[in-house]
Amino acid sequence: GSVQSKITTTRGISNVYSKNDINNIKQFISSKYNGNTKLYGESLKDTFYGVGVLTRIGETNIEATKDICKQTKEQLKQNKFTDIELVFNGVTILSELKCLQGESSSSLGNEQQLQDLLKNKLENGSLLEKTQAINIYFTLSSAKAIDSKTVSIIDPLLIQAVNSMVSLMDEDGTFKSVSTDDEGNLQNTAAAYFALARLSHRLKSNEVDKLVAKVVNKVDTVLASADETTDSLYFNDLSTTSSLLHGLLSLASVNDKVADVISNKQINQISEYLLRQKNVESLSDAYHLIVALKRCQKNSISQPISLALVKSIYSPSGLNDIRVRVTDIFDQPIEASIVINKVVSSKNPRSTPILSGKEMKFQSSDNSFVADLSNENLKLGSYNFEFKVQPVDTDSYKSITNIQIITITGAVTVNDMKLSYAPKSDQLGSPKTTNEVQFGQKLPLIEIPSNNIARIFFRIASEAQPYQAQQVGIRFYSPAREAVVPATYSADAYSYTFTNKDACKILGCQSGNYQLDLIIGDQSITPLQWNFGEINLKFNQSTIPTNRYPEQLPISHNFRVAEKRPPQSISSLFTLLVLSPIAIFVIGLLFVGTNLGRFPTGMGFIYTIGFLGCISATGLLIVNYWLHSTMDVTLKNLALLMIPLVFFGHKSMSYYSNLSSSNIKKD
Amino acid sequence: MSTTASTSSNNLTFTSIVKSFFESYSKTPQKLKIIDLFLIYTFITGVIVFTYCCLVGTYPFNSFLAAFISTVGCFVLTVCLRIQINPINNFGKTISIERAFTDYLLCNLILHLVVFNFLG
Repeated sequence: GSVQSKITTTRGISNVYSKNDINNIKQFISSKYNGNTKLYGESLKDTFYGVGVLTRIGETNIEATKDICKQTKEQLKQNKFTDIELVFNGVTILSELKCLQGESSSSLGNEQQLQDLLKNKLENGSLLEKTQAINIYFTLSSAKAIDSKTVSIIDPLLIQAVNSMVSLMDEDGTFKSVSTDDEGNLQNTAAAYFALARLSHRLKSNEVDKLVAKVVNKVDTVLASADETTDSLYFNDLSTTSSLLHGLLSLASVNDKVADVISNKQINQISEYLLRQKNVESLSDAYHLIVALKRCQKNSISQPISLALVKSIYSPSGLNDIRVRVTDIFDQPIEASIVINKVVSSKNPRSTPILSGKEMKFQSSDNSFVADLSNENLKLGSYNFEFKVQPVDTDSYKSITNIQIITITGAVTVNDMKLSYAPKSDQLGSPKTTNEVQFGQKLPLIEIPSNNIARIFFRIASEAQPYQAQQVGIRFYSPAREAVVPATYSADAYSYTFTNKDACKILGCQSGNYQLDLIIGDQSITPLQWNFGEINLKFNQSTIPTNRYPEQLPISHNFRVAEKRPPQSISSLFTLLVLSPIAIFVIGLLFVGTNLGRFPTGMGFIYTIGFLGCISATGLLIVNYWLHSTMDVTLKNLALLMIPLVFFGHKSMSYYSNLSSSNIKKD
Repeated sequence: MSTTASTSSNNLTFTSIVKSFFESYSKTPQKLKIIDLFLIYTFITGVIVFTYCCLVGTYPFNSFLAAFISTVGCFVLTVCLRIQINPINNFGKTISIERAFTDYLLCNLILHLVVFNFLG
C-alpha cells in the first residue's frame, strides 16, 4: 500500500511561500530585536529561533550580528556550561551566525566543564538532553571549535548514546524522556529521529544502522497518529509537526525505507498545513514554520510543487497567451514539461473535452509556460483546464495533475434582431410582417393589432460565434407597467413569441405604448441592455389593477332609519281611547248590577281575597315586566307567585263548588 | 194562523225587535250578562287597537301584536267560558262553573305568557 501511495499523482500544492511572505516574516523577526539586551525577544532561546529563521531564508546581512554574538558568548561564559539547553541554543546561534570560526571552546568557557556537561548528559540525561548534547558536540566539532581531547572522550560515548536512546522507544514508536516514563511523546520522537540521523551519518557503523532500522520500522505507527483532513495532515501543532517532519526527513536521508512509509501525498498534505500557518505570532512558530518549509523544499522523498495561473481571466483576443508557472514551495521555478491534458466547460465538466493533449512552451524570460489557444474556437465562458506537469528532475519532484478554472470574458453583439407580427403564427416568417433592427439602433413605434401574434427573434454572438448567455430577457415597460420575460434559446437563436392574451397576462391588460429592452447577463460577459423598440398594445379586457388589493372607499355605516312615529299627542289620545271601554264595562256593570251580598264570609272570604290578590299581583307583574324588568326575573317571580295563586285558587274554587252543590241539594 | 202571522209581521219593527231582544235578554242570568259586558269591552278595545294600526301605523309592531293577540285571545276564551257556563248548554252536569272559571283563568295565564313575550 505504501509503495502504491507513493506513486499517486497529486494536485500539487495550492499555494506557495512567496517572496512577499518571506519579507513579512523578516520584518516580524526584526521587530522582535531588542536593542538593549542585544537579543531577539526575551532570551537566548528566542534569539535561537530568530537567528534560525533569518539564516534559513537566506538573510546574509543580519543587522547587529556582532552584538548578538558578543551577547551570546557572554551568556555562555556566565553559565559556565551548566544549563544544557542554554548551551545548545548559544552554540547553535554562534554556528549559524558563523561566529564560531576561529574560536575554541575554551573561549566560551572552561573546556573541562563542557566535557563534564556533555559526558554527564550523554550518559545520564533525559532523551532531549542527550539529543542536545549530541547537537552541541557535532556543531562544535564541525566548526572545529572543540578540543581533540574532548573528542577522544565523547566519541566513544556516542554509540552508547544511540543504544540508550533506542531503548527509550515505546511500542508505538514514540520516544520516552526517561525509561521510567509511561509513554513517549512526539516532540521527543522528533528530536530522537534527528539525532539518530546525525549519529548514523557521522558514525557510519553497522551497529548504529541496525538500531536506526529498528526505529524506522516503527515510523508508520508514528505517522498513523497524525490528524488528517481532506487536504492537510499535521501532528498536534505547528512545532510538533515541524520537528517531526524535520526528524523524519533527516532519517530518510540515512535510511531508504523511510521513503516507503511516508508518501508523496503526505508531504503535500503537510505542506498545505504549513502554508496555512503563514501568519505567525511568535518567534518559535516562525522558526518551526521556516524549518519545516525548508525541509519540504529540499528532501529525498518528495518535494512539493505548485502550478499557478499567471491570470485566470482572459479576453478572446488574449487566448494566444495562456500562462502558468510551476514552482516549488518557496516559489522557485522548476524545470518541467507541461501538457494541457484536456479542457472542458465548467458548466458541464463531464462533457467531451473541447481540447486535449496541448503542449505548453517554456519561456525563460519569466520562467513561465505558454500555450496558444487562439485557434481553438473557445467561446466565452468558464473552462476547467487540466494540466499535467512532468518535472525534469524526477528524483526530487513527482508529476502532478492540476485542474484550474480559466474564464474567457468579453463583449457580445446581437444579430438578426427582428420583431414580426401577423394574424397567424405561420405568417411570422414572411418579410412583409418583419421589422429588422441593427444592433444599437431602435425600431420606430409599431402598433400590434390585438388579433395578431408577435415574435421577437435575435441571435447573440461573440467573435462571430453563437453564444448562449446565462440570462436573456426582454423587458416591456411603460410608466404604468413593467415586466421581464425570459427569451427561449433554440438552435443558436433566441425568441419570444406572444399573443395579445399573453401580453394581457404579463402586463395586466394595460393598453398603451411599451418600450422594449433586451437584457443579457452572464458572468463571463459585459452585461448588456439595449432598448431596441417600442410597441403599442391594445387590450379589449379591462385593466387589472397593479395592486392585488384594490383601493377601497372609506367604510360608511348605514344605520336603520327610524320608522315614522305618530306625534306624542296622537299616542296619548289613543291611550285614552284604548282605556275608554273600561268605562263602558263599569257603566254596564251598574246596569247589570253586581251581587256583592253573596261575597263569602269566614275562610271562603280569606281564600277569595287571597285568590283575587294573587291574580292582581300577576297582572302587576306583567305591567312591571313591561315597564322595567327582564323576562328572566319576571318568570322567576311568576313561578313564586304561582304557589299561592294555585293554593288560593283551588281553595276558593272548591269553596264555591261546595256552596253551589249544597244549594242544589237544598233545592 | 194567518192573523198571528200578520200581527207578528206588524210587530217586526226595529224598536220591537230591540225591545223583544232586551226582554229576552233580561231573563239571562247575571253571570252571563257580566261576561257579555266583558266581551263587549274586549271587542271594542280590539277594534280600537286595529283601527289605530290601520290609521296611524304598525310601529311598534310587537306592541300592536301583543295588544291585538291579548284582546282577540281574551275574547275567544271568554266566549268559551260563556258557553260552558250557559245553563242552556247543559255543561253543568259534567263541568262545574268553578272548574270552567279555573280553566279560563289558566288559559288566560298561558295566553298572557305569550302576550308579554311581545311586549316591547
